Amino acid sequence: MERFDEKMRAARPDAPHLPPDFAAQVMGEIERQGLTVRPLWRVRGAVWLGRVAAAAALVTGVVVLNGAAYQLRSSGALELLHFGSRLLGGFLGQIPYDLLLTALLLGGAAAWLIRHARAVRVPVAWALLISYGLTGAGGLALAGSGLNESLQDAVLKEEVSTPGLSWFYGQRAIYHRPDPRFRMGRVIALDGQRARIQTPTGDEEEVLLPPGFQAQVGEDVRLIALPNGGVVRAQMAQRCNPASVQPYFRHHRMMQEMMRGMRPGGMGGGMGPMMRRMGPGGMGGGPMGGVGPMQPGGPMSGPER
Amino acid sequence: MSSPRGEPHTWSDAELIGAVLDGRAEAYQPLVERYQQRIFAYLYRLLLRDQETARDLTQAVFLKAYQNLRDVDRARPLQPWLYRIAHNEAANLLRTRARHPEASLEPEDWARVGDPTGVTPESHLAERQEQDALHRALGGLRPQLRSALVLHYFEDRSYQEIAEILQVPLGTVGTLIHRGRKALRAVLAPEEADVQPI
Repeated sequence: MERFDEKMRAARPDAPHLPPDFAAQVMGEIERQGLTVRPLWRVRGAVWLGRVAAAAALVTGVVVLNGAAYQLRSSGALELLHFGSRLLGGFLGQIPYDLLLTALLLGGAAAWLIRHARAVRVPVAWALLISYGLTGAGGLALAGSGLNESLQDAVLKEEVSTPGLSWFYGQRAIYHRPDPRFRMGRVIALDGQRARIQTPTGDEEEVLLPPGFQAQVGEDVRLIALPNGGVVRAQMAQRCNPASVQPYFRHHRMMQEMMRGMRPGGMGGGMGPMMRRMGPGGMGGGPMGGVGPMQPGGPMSGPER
Repeated sequence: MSSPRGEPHTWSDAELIGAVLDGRAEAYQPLVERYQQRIFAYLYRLLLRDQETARDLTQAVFLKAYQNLRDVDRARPLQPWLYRIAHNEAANLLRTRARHPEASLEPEDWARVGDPTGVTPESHLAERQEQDALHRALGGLRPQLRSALVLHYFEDRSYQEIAEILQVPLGTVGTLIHRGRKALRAVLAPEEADVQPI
């Protein structure tokens, strides 16, 4: 090591001397270019602008990722994963890619600003880690805080009308692409393997449960089921944890309200693209997915769920 | 503000800066004269004896320093601040060269840059070849590593000063020098080293 250090020091090149009038040349250049001493706000402004822009990108990224996480969680898309890869296609179809991509770009922009605008002097890897770490943790924490649910209620009740907020919480149904094979509901009647299921929207449907699956009245179940010869036959069934059912049911009720609001003349100024895609038949399109009237007193609704 | 006594050449850095900020632009010339050779020598070594570019960059450093003079903390030494500007200017140039390799010198040109005649005494040939190899290897490092090594080995700057110039935590300076050293050793004696060049 010492020998290497010696070699390095011996390799130090001797610098030639600058011309004697170098300083005069610099002064001449200052005059020729009309350079002046910049005011402090301009000198430090760029750094502060970088810091503010990085913070703004981070905050926006957090809000957008929160929206994506809220949409994923409340749409019940995660419920599809309980069936492993069988409904993976349906799950992938419900991911709000535009929101995730936006959050990704904002996180990248924040990292770039942190690094290049000298907002904080850290290595690139740290800038990326800080940026995506904060965006991810902040977005998920915000999504879990219950703020989205409050805002959603307020927007649907038209208590809040802020551009952006109103759009997202009012038109969020554009991300709603339910998998026609997936069902989730409460067993309200049983006759052997034949069960009567009530969906979040209040509809009821007869389902033939898979052989060997023991359900009880009052239980929440999730199914892979398709109509077959006039009967809805469940290929797979699972009991649900009541805690995980709540967001799903809540979301579907909200979705119903949202789509009412998205109709021409309603809140949001018209029918969104998803609404047009789904047509007037409403949400889901499947045998249990039709939008029926809400039943406020029904067993599937109300604040207890 | 009243001017300090004596010739401007005898004034302290803080006094000269104060005079420039008070509108006496000519007070900047003694400051340039005081640091020009040190900054030029640093850039000359950092740019591996590319004299013309080092000279142009030295001028750019002093022009930039003049415009940003209000940012100087007059209670602290001026030299690290100037080195920092020099490092940033050189790093920008090196990054541009890395993106446009056709604009940069070929490795074999390095030996000729500082020795236009190419005449080397016989007895120093081996040593000279080794030094050229070191310079070439240094030229292959990314700007931050290269700066850390040049400041440490060629400019004899302390870790504290290097941290201030490169704007990295003090602990990072040790890491940068260690990494740079390993990379150079790997290039110079690949059969002995167990690391890949950076």
